[in-house]
Amino acid sequence: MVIDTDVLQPQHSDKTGLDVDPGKMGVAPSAPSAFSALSVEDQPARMNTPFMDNFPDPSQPEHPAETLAPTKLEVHHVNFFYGSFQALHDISMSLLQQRATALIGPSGCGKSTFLRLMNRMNELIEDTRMEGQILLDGQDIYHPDVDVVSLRKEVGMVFQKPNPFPKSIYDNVAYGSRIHGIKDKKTLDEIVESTLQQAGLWGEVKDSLQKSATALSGGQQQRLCIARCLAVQPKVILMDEPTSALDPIAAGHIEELIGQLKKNYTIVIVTHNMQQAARVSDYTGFFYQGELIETGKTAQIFTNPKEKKTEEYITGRFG
Amino acid sequence: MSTTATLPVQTTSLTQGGLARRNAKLAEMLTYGLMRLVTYLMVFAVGYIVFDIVANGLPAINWEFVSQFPRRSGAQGGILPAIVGTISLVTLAIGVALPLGVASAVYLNEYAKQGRFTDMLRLAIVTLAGVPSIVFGLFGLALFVLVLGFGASILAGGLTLACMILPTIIVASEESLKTIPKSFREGSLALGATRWQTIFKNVLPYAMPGILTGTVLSIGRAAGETAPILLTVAAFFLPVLPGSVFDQVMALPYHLYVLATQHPEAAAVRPMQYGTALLLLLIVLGMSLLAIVFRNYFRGKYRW
Ligand SMILES: Nc1ncnc2c1ncn2[C@@H]1O[C@H](COP(=O)(O)OP(=O)(O)OP(=O)(O)O)[C@@H](O)[C@H]1O
Ligand SMILES: [Mg+2]
Repeated sequence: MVIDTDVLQPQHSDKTGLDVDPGKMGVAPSAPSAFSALSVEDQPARMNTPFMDNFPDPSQPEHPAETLAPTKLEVHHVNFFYGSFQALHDISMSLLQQRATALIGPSGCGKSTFLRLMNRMNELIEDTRMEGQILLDGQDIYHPDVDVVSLRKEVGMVFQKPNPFPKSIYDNVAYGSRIHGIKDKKTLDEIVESTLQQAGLWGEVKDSLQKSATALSGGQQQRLCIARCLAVQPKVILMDEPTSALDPIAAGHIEELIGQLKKNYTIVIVTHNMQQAARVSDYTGFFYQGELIETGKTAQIFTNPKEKKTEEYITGRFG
Repeated sequence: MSTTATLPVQTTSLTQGGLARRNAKLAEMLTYGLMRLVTYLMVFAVGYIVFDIVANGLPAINWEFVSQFPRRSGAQGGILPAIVGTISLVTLAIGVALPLGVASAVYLNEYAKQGRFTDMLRLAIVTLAGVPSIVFGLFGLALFVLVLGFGASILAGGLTLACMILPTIIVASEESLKTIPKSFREGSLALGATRWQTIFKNVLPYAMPGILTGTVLSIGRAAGETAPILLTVAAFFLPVLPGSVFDQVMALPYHLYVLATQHPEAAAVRPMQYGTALLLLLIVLGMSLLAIVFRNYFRGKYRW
């Protein structure tokens, strides 16, 4: 497989995968947000999780000038159960701000389940249970005091199948803002225009904003869903196989868009397409049968995986 | 070359088994023929009844008939009180049953934890839908007329009819809610909408067409049933308009029953019977059309 290393290198060109500073994890310098139900005292004690072993100690003198991307989401020893079936086993992982992290692995290995834990969508499924902790900017998102509505404003999601609502394009994009109390027509107009522009759809739809969103093509629908997600100003965007229902050209548009978006957002993307993972992501996590086998820089995972399973999967020996 | 060699073989295989296929075709034609026959019979029966009522009822209907009070126990004059009675009963029944029914369906489909309890609830609702209307009449008599002390009144009758059509509306609404894709709900929740916002803004509007179809069916039933109103509201002969919901009132189906079977000059009032029947049909048609207009509005607005 040919990997374009220019794309893979994160902007700060770090050769050792040195991006996580356990000492700095709590002080993510993200903008203060609505998601602040907990005071600092309430926060659980931090721990160094074993997966940190993947990353060298940042205090090592060889890399003194390293700039670190702060951690946005931290997953600590998460187990997840559908009834009595355990779908995730002791997952620990850090997701870094302004980086795209790809989740890969064979069908049924728990990628979607893992993704849906970050905006608590799994709670909607009856008879499920989660153990462990997921911290967003250091706050436990499963803490009883956390308001799931503001969490989901902070952590947006784009689904595998484009799911525009059967309303007009305008009403789709404005849906979230209206839900969150914005009524002013001018403000809404601005939000609609700027998010459609960000999603690269404005040019195609600016004259037909009142047309039904379901009349758009699949690729346009998916970009509309991305715009709809951006309109509530999330910090994290979860994408579950966002291009699997699209043709290669439409998929290319979305990938380009992800490249743009990761300058401002934390992106987590599930994909079955290895090339896509290699193209769009900075970090990659490989899941297998509910376990996180390996995480690391995308370039490292794809060129020099540490685990045999990872190598077998990437080289297409199973999956 | 192999391609040219296989071509004739394929052609023969297409014509083989001709007999079996001819039999299958015959069976298919027979079945379709039967189905078509049954459908035509149904249409013919309905068409004949409607034709009979329209042909005989139309001459009886005039301005006096719809705007006057009945005289000589309905042998002369009009049927204004019965028209007013039926319209107010149906309006009250739908007005009560529609919100309650939709709320129940929303609870059952969107909120309740699915399991034995909800299955039992659904079974109870479906069973209720099949309960004879006279039983609802007795229930209404006991609860609304006697226990709650509404007396024989529009209120008691309307609520009784509401109970009767409630199961139909719940079932139709739930079926309609079930057809709304899960992705609409998830998409909305993922944007930070609450469950309630999601249902109100992104589920119910799309379910409206199905809900209104159930309502159309219920209008006909509420307008036409005689037994429940007989026990709870309908007056044999009351040539005044009701002053409030606590008054008794005449109603078209019961009036029709009286004219047809209880009237001393049943044969002489035959045109009045036909006129009453036709008006009842027209009222049901009119109210259903109203619901259908709403339904089409929602259908056109939200397409997926
Ligand atoms: N609602 C559910 N109830 C019970 N089990 C479920 C449910 N959803 C998923 N699972 C199980 O959990 C495991 C992980 O599923 P998940 O959907 O997370 O896999 P995935 O990695 O996203 O697969 P794919 O690549 O096919 O989308 C699977 O074994 C699946 O059968
Ligand atoms: Mg999946």
